[in-house]
Amino acid sequence: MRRNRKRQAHARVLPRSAAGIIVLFVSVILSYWFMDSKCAQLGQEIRKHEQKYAQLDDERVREEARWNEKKTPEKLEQAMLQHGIAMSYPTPEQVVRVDGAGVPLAGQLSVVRFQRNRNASERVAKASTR
Amino acid sequence: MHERGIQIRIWIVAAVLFLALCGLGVKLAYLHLANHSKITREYKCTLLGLRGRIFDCNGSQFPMAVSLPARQFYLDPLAVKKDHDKRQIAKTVADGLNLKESEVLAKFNQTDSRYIKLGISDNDRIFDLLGDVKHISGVGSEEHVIRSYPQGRRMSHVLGFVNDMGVGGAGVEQQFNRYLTGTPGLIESEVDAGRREIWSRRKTFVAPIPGSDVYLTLDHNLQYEVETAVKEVVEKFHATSGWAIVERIKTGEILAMASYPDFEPQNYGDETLDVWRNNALAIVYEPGSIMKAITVSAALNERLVTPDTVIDVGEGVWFYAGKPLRDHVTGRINVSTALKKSSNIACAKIGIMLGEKRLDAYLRAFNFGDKLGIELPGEERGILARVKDWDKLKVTRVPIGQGVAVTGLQMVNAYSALANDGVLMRPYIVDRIVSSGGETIFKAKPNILGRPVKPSVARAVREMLVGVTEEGGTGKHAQVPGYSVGGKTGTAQKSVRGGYSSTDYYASFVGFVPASAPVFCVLVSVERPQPQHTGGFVSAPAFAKIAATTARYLEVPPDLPFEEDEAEPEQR
Repeated sequence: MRRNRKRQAHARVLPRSAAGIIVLFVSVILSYWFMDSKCAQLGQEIRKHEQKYAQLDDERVREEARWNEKKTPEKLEQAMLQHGIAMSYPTPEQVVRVDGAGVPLAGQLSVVRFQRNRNASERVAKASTR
Repeated sequence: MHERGIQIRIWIVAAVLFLALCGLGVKLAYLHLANHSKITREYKCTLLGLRGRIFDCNGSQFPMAVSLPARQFYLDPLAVKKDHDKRQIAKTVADGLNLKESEVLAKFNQTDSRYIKLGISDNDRIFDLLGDVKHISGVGSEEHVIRSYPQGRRMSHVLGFVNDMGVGGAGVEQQFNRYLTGTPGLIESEVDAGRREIWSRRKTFVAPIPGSDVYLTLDHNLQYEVETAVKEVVEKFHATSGWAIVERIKTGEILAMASYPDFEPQNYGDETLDVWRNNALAIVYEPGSIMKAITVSAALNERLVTPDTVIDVGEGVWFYAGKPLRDHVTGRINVSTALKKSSNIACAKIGIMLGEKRLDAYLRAFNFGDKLGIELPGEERGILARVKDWDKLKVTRVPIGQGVAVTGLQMVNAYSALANDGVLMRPYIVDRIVSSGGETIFKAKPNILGRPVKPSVARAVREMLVGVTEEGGTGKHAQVPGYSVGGKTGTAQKSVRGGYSSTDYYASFVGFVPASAPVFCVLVSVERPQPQHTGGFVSAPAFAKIAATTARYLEVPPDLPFEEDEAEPEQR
């Protein structure tokens, strides 16, 4: 009898509804804590990616600057000279301008010279066949 | 007794725990309630806003000045770990930052400071090398920005430099400092016990805004050719300095502006103020005979003379106001020949025909004696005294380029006006300014300053100036194969205290190409060339070199047959 009475007393301490509320409360806290820590973790990851992005962007800027240093007219000229190449801008007689149909535009020095040379070689060829 | 002892012990433990709890409570209250806690947890970080870039006319492919994120390395001698070898660290630092090992080692023994600057690097490999905590200690780094000039000395006088405070100290860097300077960003947040930012507590984040980009009218390829030509002529004739300007005639755009000796903008401190100065617009000098074309154009505009008007220059010496004026030309010559042969007496007589007031008015109409307003610091006005201050001799000396001082920019601009049918343009060097967001803040437009002479007069002078570069003229070395050239030589004695030097000269040539339909104008001036000193001998060949390259580069159609074509014998 005494044992039964004790059991009844114990059951009265925590009613089922109260236990449910506590469980609910704890689970809400736990889920909040879980989500908060997850958010913090994601935040840290975002920060890391941001830093990495900034670092890579800085590297890109520096690499671009190095590349720009390499393609200055002076450096290109030096590099070409090392391979025995000396370049200059073409003279007007070396430039052939063509129209949309691919026909050389009239009155160009390059064309005049070409025609003159061709006429000369034709004359030589004719003279030699005579 | 035993039970009592236990009770005492329990009370003692309880008291200790109570006191500890009280202490923790007080500390907690202090941390949370006192202002101190807020200050220590507050985190403020300024984010660097990079300075804007400077490009040439080819756009973003060719930056002339850029800001690079770098790191400033410093040393804390007291933070070097005992198991690390100072000598080894010093060697690594010295190799990485291009320093002397002995100097770095000396800094390790300098224990009176915990922040000793070592050097700056923009090399990622060096960041990794000096950030290796296993082998390096006591060496720290912080964010820094360096201004880099990828083309080295190229355009140094135009670009200028940025000082240690990040402020432009010369050239475009100075003039457009407020556009180029970036706006710093800001982070306001809180930190944890390890002084790391608590991301979730971030209150403010303002992203930095980079400065605006400045696009120049200069072309780096042309600039290279012009700088090379100026350097060559200065070195060949052992001159003190030299400068050259290439201007597009129709618009006033400056395509190249070179001054020698030059400097490295990144290491501007290695040179003196004299070298920083852009001589093309900051040196005023007596132009000599290149002024004669201006005098003649004024007289033509006033219809006082025509190209065929004959002037008697006598036997090579002419006295005016009791002073002799010498000339290498004798006899009776027309105005055209006076320019071709560069006759002093003929031009002085034309000056008298014009009179003081009209001469002064024309010179001012060509903008001599005033700034042209180019977007570069240090531009000089030149020296053109007021007419009321002229002595009697001045009216015969100013027409031949004495007693008046100009800048190279003024002179090339005046000749551009003659080549542009008398329309004087404002020279400009900045084409546009674009914000970091891509918005065009400023776009330059050609600006007419005035019309000092009529188009017909400008054309007549242009024709006369072609004679200067032909056989018999003083500027025949300025000829450019395939192109007609109009120009004028100038040899001016350098003014010294109380008179003129008999050994030091300014040798100049200014001209335009092609003379039949001018596209660009070039000025070359050399200071104190030795042993030859005439404009025709010193500057004209440099002009020819620059003009030939510029014509090819700009794809200007030639207006003359090539010499070898003409000389080719008819094969019949």
